[in-house]
Amino acid sequence: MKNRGNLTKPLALAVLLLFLILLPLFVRGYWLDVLILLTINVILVVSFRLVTTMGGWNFAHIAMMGVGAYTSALLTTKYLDWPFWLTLPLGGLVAAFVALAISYPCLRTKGFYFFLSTFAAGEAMRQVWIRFQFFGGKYGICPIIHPNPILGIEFVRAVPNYYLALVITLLSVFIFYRLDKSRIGDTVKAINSDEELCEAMGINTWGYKALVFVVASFFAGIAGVLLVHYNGLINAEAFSVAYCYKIITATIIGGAATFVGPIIGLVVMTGVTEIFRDLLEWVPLIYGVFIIGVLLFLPDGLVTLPRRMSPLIKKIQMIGKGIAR
Amino acid sequence: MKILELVGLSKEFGELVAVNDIDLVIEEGEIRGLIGPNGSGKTTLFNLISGFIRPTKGKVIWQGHDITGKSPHTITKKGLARTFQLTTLLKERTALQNVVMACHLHTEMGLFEQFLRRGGAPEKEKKVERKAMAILEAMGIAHVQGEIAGELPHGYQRALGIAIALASDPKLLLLDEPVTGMNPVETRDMMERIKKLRDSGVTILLVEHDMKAVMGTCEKITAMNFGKKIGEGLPEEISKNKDVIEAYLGA
Amino acid sequence: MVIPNLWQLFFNALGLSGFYALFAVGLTLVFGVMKIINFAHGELYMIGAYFAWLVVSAGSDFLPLIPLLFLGLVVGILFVGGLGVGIERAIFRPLRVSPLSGFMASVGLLYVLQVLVGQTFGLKEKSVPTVFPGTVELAGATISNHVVVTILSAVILLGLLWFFLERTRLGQGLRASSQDSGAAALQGISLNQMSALVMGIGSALAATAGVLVGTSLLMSPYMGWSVLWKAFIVTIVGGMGSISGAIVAALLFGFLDNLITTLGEPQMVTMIDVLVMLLILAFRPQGLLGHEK
Repeated sequence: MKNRGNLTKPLALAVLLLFLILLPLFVRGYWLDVLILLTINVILVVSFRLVTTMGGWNFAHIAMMGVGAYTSALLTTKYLDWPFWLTLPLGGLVAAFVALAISYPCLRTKGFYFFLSTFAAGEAMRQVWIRFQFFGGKYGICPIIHPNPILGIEFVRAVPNYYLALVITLLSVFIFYRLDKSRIGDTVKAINSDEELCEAMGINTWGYKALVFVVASFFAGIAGVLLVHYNGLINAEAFSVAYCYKIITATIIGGAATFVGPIIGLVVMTGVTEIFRDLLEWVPLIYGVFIIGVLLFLPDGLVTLPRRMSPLIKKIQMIGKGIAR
Repeated sequence: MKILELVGLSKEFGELVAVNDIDLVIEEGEIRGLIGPNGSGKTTLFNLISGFIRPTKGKVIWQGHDITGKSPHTITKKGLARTFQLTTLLKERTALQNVVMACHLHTEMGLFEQFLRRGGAPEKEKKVERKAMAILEAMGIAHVQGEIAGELPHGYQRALGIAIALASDPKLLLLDEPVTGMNPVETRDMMERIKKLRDSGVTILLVEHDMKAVMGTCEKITAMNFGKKIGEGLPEEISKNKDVIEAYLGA
Repeated sequence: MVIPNLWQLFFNALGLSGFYALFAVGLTLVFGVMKIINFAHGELYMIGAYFAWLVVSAGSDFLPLIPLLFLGLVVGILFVGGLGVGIERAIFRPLRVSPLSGFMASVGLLYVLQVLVGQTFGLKEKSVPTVFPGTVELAGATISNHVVVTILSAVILLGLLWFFLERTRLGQGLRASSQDSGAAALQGISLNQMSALVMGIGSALAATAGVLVGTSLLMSPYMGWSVLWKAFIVTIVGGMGSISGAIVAALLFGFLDNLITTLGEPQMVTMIDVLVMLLILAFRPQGLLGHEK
């Protein structure tokens, strides 16, 4: 029995991986598009979650996505001719720099004020993109080139874009998972638990918080680059508060306490949005009801559902056994 | 040798002068007591020394270097550690995990090694654990290393607080009410351990209300009231000092 | 460029300030006691406006405009105030432990209310006949009666609020709760009661703003959202939880925004407001009249 325990996790992961790789065989057209966007959103959600482990609910996360996206758009299409494969990491780096810059005012704040200051910073950036023609102004930049062909693979159609997004997402998930389980992740959680105590222990709390903030923003930037090169256009409207709210909702609904919770929350919310696709105007209401419901009845997120359900399941099992006899 | 020197240290919170022009010298190897009624500014003084708040005036000099206004983690790094009055612990973690985290400065791990999954630098992690266990032993709580910190009895929690401070290998330890809330047996035990700490090379500055413990352990005592120093000297002198007696009776 | 009559500017700015004050004071009041930011505050304002529109539309055959509007105001205040109390009980009270949860729930509520109103009354903008028709001559300037009513209502209501908070037992209990709910509880002041009360009052104030001002603008289910950010800026600059701060900041931004608009750059309003806010926060992070942490 014990050996089985050691095998199930890697086995399950391998099956999942296979599933993800084979998906494009079954999924086409609109649904493939949804899948690609979902994949990119996973990067956003795991990076966002990292910042929550230090107690920060970062409302500038989507703006960081925009920073990466605009960097790449400007360098590949509007002003220069740089290749996508260069601007992809560059977008992340610029986002990281911007995050470092705003970390000075923002990390001094805590709780609600952190949310506010990051929100203000993000909004300011968005306004800059809208107002200044340098960034394309209100109408953004369009069209944007697809990723340049590499190793003979072209990125005009959806499928190669899916695999590109998948590879980068898997890499990101891996990195954030390791980060979460590492001493750094541990230290960050300790800082969240009692920052003063950690300072007294000799931990440079500011340094760790900034590190987390910057790393998360780097990946948000990368997600942004992926998004706009897939969509072929960039528009400041895309990096809206609503988008940020969606990521936060996914994190809370899934449960920020675990690594995998936010991913599950994202998948569920995306599924819900798609199911109610025809009733588009009602979607915000469904979101609202969902999140209020989860907050009131499942405060630690959907990941706790199995645990909550297990007494009920046990009861059902016992009844079942009783009937069978 | 002077290990800590406070020169004209003051802290004002608007109208309130919490710490008023304090001059203090601690010699290496001392066990110094700091006494005074509630609200006399003792904890504020601790906060000033350890970098948690910035003074309005004055200097904090550590081993000859000015550390006034430096951040707490830098000061801890320089060898000055403190405990907290309220039980400040990582409450959801075990006692051992608390001390392991507190060994942060001495893990000998670079940032990248810290990024590797636990087990990525297994030798160093094990070393840290051994060190943490040794500290728990020294504080007499090794037997509860696997217990959740928040669930430990009060006395063990206080001991854990000191263990956490010891993890940074301090040369001076600021103890904020180490035996408050303990019964006489626990108190005596703790004060013995504190003496042993000093014998092993850690200078001690402690704040306490338990007069018996203070008089019995400290070699020199500084008394404060209303943010000012009102007396300093040997325990016998202080116990006869009129101002000190008045401060406590008047409070 | 038309040189504006200074008194005209003054009274219009005052009207705008009154509007901001009614809206922002409600928000800061709730924060003071409940320590949460109610993102659905704008929706309560919006519902107040829709109420007035409903009453006016339905009753236009039976009553003349002005009494109809007062009726709408009273009914709107009662309904939205009650709604606020209900929201406190059902949503904010269970989530009191976690301000983040309360905030997220309030955003969820925002969406729910927006969609409900939008689906019931349509997404298109509506307009209501200008509330109080006519103008009046004051100090040589022509001021619309509507602005006068807004100013008067703001002064009266905020005056009543001041009286309530300073001179009545219940009001003092509320102030105690907002300073230290733990200590207040020890004195027998129920946080539950205070929270319900403050949500009721805050929502009522928002509804008033909605009835008085919302109706003079184009109404849509999203009107609350567009005013909400103004409320945040005003409350933050004033100092979260400080009513006098909110009033001072409302005056500041009322005059500032009116000036900017009169000078012909209405689209710069938000940007300038944010810059002013950042400037003030850089020197006084707790806001003009807020408490140091």
